[in-house]
Amino acid sequence: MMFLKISLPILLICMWAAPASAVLHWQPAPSSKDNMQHQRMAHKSFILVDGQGAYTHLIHPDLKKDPLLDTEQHFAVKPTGKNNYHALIAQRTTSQGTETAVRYPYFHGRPTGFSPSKLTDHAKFDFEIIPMPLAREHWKYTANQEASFQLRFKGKPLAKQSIQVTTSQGTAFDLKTDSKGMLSFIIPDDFSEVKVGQRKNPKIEFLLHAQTTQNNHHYQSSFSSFYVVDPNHWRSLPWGFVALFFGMMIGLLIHFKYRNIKKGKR
Amino acid sequence: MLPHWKNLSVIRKVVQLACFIFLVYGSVIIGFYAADKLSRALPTLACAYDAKTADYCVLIPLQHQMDHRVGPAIKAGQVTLAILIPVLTTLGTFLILFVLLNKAFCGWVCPLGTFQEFLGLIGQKLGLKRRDSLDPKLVKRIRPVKWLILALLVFIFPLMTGMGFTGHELGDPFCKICPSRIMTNLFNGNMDELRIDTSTPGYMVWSILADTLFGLILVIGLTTRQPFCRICPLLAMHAIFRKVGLVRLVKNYTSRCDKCGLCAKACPMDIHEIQTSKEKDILFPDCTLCGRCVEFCPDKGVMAMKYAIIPIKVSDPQYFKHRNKAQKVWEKANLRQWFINRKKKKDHV
Repeated sequence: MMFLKISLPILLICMWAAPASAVLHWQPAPSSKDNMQHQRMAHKSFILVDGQGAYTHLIHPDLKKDPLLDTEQHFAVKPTGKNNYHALIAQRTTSQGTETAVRYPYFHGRPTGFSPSKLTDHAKFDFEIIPMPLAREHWKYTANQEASFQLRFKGKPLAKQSIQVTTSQGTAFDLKTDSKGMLSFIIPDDFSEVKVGQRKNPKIEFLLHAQTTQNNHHYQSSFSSFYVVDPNHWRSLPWGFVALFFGMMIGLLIHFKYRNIKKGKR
Repeated sequence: MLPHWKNLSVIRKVVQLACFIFLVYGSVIIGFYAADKLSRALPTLACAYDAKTADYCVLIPLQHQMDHRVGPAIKAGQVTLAILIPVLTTLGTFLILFVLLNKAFCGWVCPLGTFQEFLGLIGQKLGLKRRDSLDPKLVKRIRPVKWLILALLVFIFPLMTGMGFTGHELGDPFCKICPSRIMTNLFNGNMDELRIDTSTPGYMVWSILADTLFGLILVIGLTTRQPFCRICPLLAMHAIFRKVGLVRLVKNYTSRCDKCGLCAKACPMDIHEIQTSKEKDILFPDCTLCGRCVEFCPDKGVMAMKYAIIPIKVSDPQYFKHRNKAQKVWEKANLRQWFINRKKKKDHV
């Protein structure tokens, strides 16, 4: 029993860890609660992987900053009372260079009147991976859907730069930014076992990691987020057309019935 | 000949088209998050399921608030002001916009209303026999449906879901069947909302109902004016607040009204009471403030559309004469008539 108590949390953390574990990045702390439920005012827990010595803070939708307090790289982030995306920031500078990590959790609260693009555009580091745009509210990064990002150095797009994409399911591939520093990719449909129903499939993680050397200084940056299973696994378009056609037939029946009544009256 | 810029219907169509583009593709113009969305509760059917819209329909926050806040609070016996404030804010935003424009949102702004008028236009241009007025008995039978949909699908079912009596399938049931969800996504080249969700029997039934309803509207809309508007829960919500809106529809009843009836015939919502009413205020619950009744009233000053006390359009015999003539020319220009004329020409040769 004692062995289970100790080993289960470690096992859970290992299961949630994204493959590039040596990269400084944010990931959600394992939770026994159902993540799909609306627990609007509950705190959200995150782990900063490889985060020894990193400076961390939270940026609100209105760009206000709060320091983040951790317990051994485990962060329980309370809702700020402001609605919309927030930014979890981690930065560490050593003799080997600067490492940064960003993640954009969503918190519910009162509207702030600030667009999330203000938060993503706001310069947080010298070298940064910017989502273009973030998944819209009530939308999520979803398997089989395209996601776009821009790589910037000191606010300027970084062209022809390599970037690694990895998922917690083991998928890994490299991409290069175009002349405008942009890159787009289809989020892999790599759920090991797809169950019918969005709520029955736990979210999985993807991580973007890029590195560059500028003016003899090495920079590394990561962006992490979750993605959900493609609901089209259990949603049928052909049957949708059948239902649409059925509705049109009913419409025609109503139309002819009405026409006959009118003729009868005459 | 009536110049287009003086024709109220033409002006309305231009406004509708501009609003349609803005409400369906708004985010392309002003970005995904125009300051935390343009509005949390713009009282139109601009759908949050649409990837390119810039705002929300009021019915989405209302259903979610019932499901995720009010329902659980009632269950826990902790209904506080903090729980009710978001609901009151949603209704308050709706009310402010509604005071400014009243039910003109339906007739001038709503993209689903515009889409249905567009369907009618296609039907008319194909030369399909159009149903000018529905039977008053049928209209009376249809009218309560919108109240039923508002009560059950927008308030009661989401509330029951929040209280744990029903499954998640009934959390936002109106959105599940809303034709605007399918229509706006189709206009964005996305057919996902047409898909039948087989994850649970409940979701499957809702998606079949939604597609069937949309198919029904596609066909009926070709020959009948505004089929979905007649059962739309937003029309019912508007009806609750209609007395506080600044846009008004007024009538100075005369004895000629009893014999005429052109206003009722022109009404796309078949409000026959416009003709028979002797009241000054003729903004009935089903009215969409399209202004056609004022346009087609042949008597000077009998009907008027006003913004507070400022008249926007007042019935006028000269305007009526030209408008009626323009309508006849417009209706004659259709594919069926074109074939008939062509055949006549051939026979003549």
